[in-house]
Amino acid sequence: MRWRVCLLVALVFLGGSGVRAAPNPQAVGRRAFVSNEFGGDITIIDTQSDQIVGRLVVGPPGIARPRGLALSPDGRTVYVAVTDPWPKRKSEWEFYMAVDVASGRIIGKYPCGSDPERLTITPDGRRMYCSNEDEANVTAVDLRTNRILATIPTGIEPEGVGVSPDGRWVYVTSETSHTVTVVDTRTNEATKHILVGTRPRVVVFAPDGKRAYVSAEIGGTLSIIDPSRHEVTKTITLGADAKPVGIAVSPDSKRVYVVGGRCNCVFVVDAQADRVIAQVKERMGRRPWGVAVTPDGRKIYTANGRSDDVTVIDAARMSVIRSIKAGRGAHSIQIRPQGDGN
Amino acid sequence: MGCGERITRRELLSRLLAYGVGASLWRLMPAWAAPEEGVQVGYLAQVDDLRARPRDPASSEVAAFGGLIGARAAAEEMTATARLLGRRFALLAVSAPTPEAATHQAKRLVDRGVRILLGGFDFETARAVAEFAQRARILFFNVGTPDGRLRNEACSRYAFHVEASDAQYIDAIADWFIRGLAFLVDEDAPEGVRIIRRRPTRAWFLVTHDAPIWQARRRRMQVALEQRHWGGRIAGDVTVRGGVAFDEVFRAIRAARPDLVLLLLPPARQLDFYRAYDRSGLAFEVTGFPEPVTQTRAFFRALLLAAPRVARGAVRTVLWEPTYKAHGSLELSNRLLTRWGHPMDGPVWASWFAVKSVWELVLRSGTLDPDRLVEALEKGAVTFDGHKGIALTFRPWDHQLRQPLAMSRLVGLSQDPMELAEAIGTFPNVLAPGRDPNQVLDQLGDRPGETRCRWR
Repeated sequence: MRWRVCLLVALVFLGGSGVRAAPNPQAVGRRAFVSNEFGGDITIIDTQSDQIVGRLVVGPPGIARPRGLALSPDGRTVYVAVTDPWPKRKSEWEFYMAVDVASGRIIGKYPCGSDPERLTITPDGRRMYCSNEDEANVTAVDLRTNRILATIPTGIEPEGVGVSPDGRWVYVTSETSHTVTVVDTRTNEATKHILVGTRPRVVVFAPDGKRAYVSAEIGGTLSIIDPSRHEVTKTITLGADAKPVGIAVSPDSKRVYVVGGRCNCVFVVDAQADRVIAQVKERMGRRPWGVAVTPDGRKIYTANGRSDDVTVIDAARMSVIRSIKAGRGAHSIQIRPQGDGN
Repeated sequence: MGCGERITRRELLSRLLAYGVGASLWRLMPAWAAPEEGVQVGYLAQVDDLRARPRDPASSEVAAFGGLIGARAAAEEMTATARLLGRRFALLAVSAPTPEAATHQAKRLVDRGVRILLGGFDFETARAVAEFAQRARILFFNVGTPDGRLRNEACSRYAFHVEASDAQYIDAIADWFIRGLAFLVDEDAPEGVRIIRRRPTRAWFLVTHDAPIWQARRRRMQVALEQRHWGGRIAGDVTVRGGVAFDEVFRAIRAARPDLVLLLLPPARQLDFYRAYDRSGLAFEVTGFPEPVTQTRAFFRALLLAAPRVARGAVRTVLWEPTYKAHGSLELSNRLLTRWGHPMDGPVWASWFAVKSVWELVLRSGTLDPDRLVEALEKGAVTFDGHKGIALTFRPWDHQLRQPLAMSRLVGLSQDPMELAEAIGTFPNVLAPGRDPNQVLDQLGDRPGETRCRWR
């Protein structure tokens, strides 16, 4: 069967299992989007009710692999990195796409390099930066014209991409070089390369823009970078058995949440004291890889790749509230920055 | 061209020549004395010719040539990384096919400012370079000799071993075959893992070469079966001399009816055995001790050609299997294949990892002082990523790299070297939560109380 890029919004009716029948899928209020790497789809969760309200089918399971996610600043568009399971083979499943959340339509499809994995959207919504793992660079794409603006060299095996809240800086992690490349978005040039922990994966800026955080999967650390100087100011040890990957920062920038893929846990870091104040372990899903915080800061969601679910954590009590069945290989999660609809 | 179908000879030659030019230019460079200036690494390539791919699939030169490719691949990446950080990194590869040549070349390299040496694809060469390194007070990384003596009675304070030890390989073989069930992380499998089922190996038949090193490996195998990996027993145990036919051995195997025949034989004799065994009609499963050359696609191809009936489906222990998919390993393997036209097999990985680790060691520790580097490695102050899914460190008691090992299953003859075999497992399980990585990895190899190493 020849598969094409198809995108459907599917209602999920799960009556009798404690999950309510989905409301109107067109209603796009408080939503979390979870990419399911092996399921070929995206699960949509209403973060008020914690019910699944829809599913975006990206492509055939096992072939189309949606991984990295980013939301437009207005929350109306979700951007998805799609790749295939064959790093050596060219296929139709290697692109970044933009999906209109309300209609479920593809509204853009963008080139980048090979093996798309992670991306970020600038705060003005005009540009996408995506890492090209095989080619040791990051691509800047103009989202209006679908034109590549620049290809910027990074370290070896670039992965995580983060943009500062003011849109001035893009940071790119490189897994083999253990570096973060600083890209000046005004010139689209790399201005500096910062040494961080071993095998850095994800980089996230705090909403107040005063810090960036980098997880190091093999080093088991969280590096704190001062964006005004582009220097590591502190490294927090999470543990050699942690395998930290996903990072989320609370809306007030006071808490940092880091998921550990091997410890099956969430580290809660006090951003003022720069220390781990709690570790959420009980009832956690397996291999949490992605993490996001609701706009009000009250709930934390983790995408769990081995248990194919999403864990919901009460941020105040720092304990698990519930688990939500997602799709196969939950990878990344994004929550709409705005609380209400369009 | 064996494993090099993906690039032409001309392309390979031009790449290697380009590195030859680079090496010549390097000779004009001044020595760098401080880590902030950079680090120069010497690679003692145990090949006669740095440009010609060896042809004998059972020759250690095949492994050494692969190692050279791995070293150059890492040097290219680390040079680029160093440049990003305002530093310098240089690798000089020289031909050193004998212990005498290796010692001579090592001295020349040190005279030119090299601070760290890599190499060693047989015991005599690795020991000679380790002894030189001890005298010169510089670090030596053994990338191609599993020989247990280097980690025991012939250990050296300045020598570290990236190549897995005899004991690590033997423990991995024992555990894998006795277990009979394995979970392979495979992101493309429906559940994210593949369950590999096989009949547990209980009755082992050992076929051992009469040289002392192979007898030492036989004794370590007995320890593994009798004291560490319970459930296996030795159903047969024969020693064979070099060049002698295997007819008597086959009769003994037929009588013992083992679950597995383990060949503790040199690579060329393993090939001889497979060839004769294929014709004998015997059907008991066979595997062999994984000397580095036996982990190459060239050797796998030779096995499949020599013994099409027996070799197909055979399981071999390796340091690295290029079809393994987890932890970013497939991306690494494909990067090397695309750039160098060579599969990332065990010997390639060992040298790639060693060169990368040397750069990271100097970068992270901020020193070129050999004693401080030794201290940093022994204390685990610097941990390394080998794309094996877990932090890797060196053991303080014998300077052996802690690392998971992999299992390859021979699939069948193919023009594509990647299709000759497939990954079917790794050991230990690095994903099990709640345990310190060192504790997990120390399931393989000799423990502190078992080592005979006494630092001089």
